[in-house]
Amino acid sequence: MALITRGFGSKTHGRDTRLPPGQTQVDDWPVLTAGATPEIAQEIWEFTVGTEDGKTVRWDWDSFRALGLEDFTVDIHCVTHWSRLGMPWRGVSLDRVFEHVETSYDFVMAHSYGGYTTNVPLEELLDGQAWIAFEADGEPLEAEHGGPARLVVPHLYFWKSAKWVQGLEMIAQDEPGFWEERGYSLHGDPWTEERYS
Amino acid sequence: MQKLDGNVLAGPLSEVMTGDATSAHARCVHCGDVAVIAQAVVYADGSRFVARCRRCDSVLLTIVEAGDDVRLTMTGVTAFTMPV
Amino acid sequence: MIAHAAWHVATVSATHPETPSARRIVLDIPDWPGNLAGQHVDVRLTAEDGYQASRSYSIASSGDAPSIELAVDRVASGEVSPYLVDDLMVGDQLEVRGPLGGWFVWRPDPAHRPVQLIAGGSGVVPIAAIVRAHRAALDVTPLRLLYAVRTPDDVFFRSELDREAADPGPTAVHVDYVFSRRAPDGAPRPAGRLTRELLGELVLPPQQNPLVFVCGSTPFVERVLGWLKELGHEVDDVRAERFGGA
Ligand SMILES: Cc1cc2nc3c(=O)[nH]c(=O)nc-3n(C[C@H](O)[C@H](O)[C@H](O)COP(=O)(O)OP(=O)(O)OC[C@H]3O[C@@H](n4cnc5c(N)ncnc54)[C@H](O)[C@@H]3O)c2cc1C
Ligand SMILES: [Zn+2]
Repeated sequence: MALITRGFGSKTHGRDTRLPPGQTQVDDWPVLTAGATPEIAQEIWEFTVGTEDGKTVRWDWDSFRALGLEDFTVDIHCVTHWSRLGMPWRGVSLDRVFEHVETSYDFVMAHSYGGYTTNVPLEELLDGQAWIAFEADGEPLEAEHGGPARLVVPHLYFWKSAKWVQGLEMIAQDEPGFWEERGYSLHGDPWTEERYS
Repeated sequence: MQKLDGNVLAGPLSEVMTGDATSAHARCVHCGDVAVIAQAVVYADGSRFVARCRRCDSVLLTIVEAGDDVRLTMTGVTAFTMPV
Repeated sequence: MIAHAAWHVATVSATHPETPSARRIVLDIPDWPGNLAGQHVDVRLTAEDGYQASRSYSIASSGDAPSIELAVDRVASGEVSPYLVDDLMVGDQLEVRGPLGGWFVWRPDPAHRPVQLIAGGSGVVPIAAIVRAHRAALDVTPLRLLYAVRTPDDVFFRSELDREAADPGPTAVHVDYVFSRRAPDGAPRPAGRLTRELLGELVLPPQQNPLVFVCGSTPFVERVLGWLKELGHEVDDVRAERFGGA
């Protein structure tokens, strides 16, 4: 008989430790959007990364997806207190994208079709921490969930995972994006409840 | 599934071999690369481990630990030499 | 000679916060055979319903004492590390298998081959064991440590590393920090990620034939290994230990 370690397991397998403080688990996928839902056709979709030397690296639908689609399963946490655990996605890791980008800047502003922006430090997008996703739950991303492509940065509150993402702009200093200018945290770590600034 | 290296096999291998097997040299049967087990690329999933050749990525050995039962297959290595 | 690995019952004798996300844990193990600097243990936890989980943790201490010191960083949404960092209490018992590993170890070296240590985040744990063993042996082998960490608050073993840095003697370890997020006032360089250029500046060059130890998350280790190769270090002069993590 193995030695039982006090307190292990009571909340470790099954629930709880994957839920950050103040979050409730949901099984559906609530929709929260400020403003209208843009409709972007695959033929005109493009993804760009702009760097400090004025260069823009540019991909179209096929060349971007050819960077390497992968499946990933992550937990997402919305600042409005819901979390979805173990959600399956398919997309291109930003590690693949940054293999083609030369920059010395440490911060990123993500831009979306429709004008939404959000800021993230570059360090938090690399090493398998962020993707440009095209599918969720095994289906192409619907426009209301940010399709055809959205940023997914699961370790930050989900407003950082910009819907309808169009590109990234490298910036020298951290600057507030759309929600951040409206009082949300510059960083947005769900584990330390960085909700508001 | 975590990507690790052969150091993590020290525990499971200690159940089936005496001495530290992670500093043993082994030759990959596919490409001939000789490396110590600690240098292998290991994919770990709970207590299931797959060690792959650092050079050609072919499977060197697999270990499954289930409670007190340890199952080792070493189909991808030859010339396994333990340090003494 | 490496002691034979076996399962042992360990009792938590002390814990203290190491950083805001990490904790040091001292385990008493009456039948511990002692361990070398750089070795690790497998920690096994069993729940009341029989469910088990085990993970590897490096030992920050070395020598013959019947106790070992671990330092565990909390991986958000992890299964084992949040329990060890937040819930485990003095007096609790768990199982450890060890001492483990014979490759990523360092022994005081009569030949004094220079050693370059490279740590990322919690990867400093086995490296700290090497620094401590070097000090305990009053070994004059040149040791240099490059420690990549997010902010000054995230530094493990701060006071001991400061002592090394402040010591002008021949047994002191030279410590360089690379802070990725926030550097302290007066740091020799602003916060920024480790680059190949910086690595080239801060590690012993291949001409000095150093033995190199690299430990940290898997992406960190692999990035550093790639750069070391480009800088001219031979693959077999570099010993690496990957902690995992994406
Ligand atoms: C030889 C060896 C020695 C180690 N020594 C130490 C040590 O001294 N101190 C220490 O804190 N850890 C150490 N580790 C890592 C440790 O074994 C666990 O992997 C870690 O504590 C996470 O376990 P978990 O159960 O909390 O997370 P899990 O439930 O296993 O993982 C949850 C999620 O976190 C991710 N993840 C897992 N590990 C990491 C990581 N290290 N960094 C970032 N993300 C991760 C996984 O990809 C997974 O998605 C060592 C690992 C090895 C192989
Ligand atoms: Zn091979």
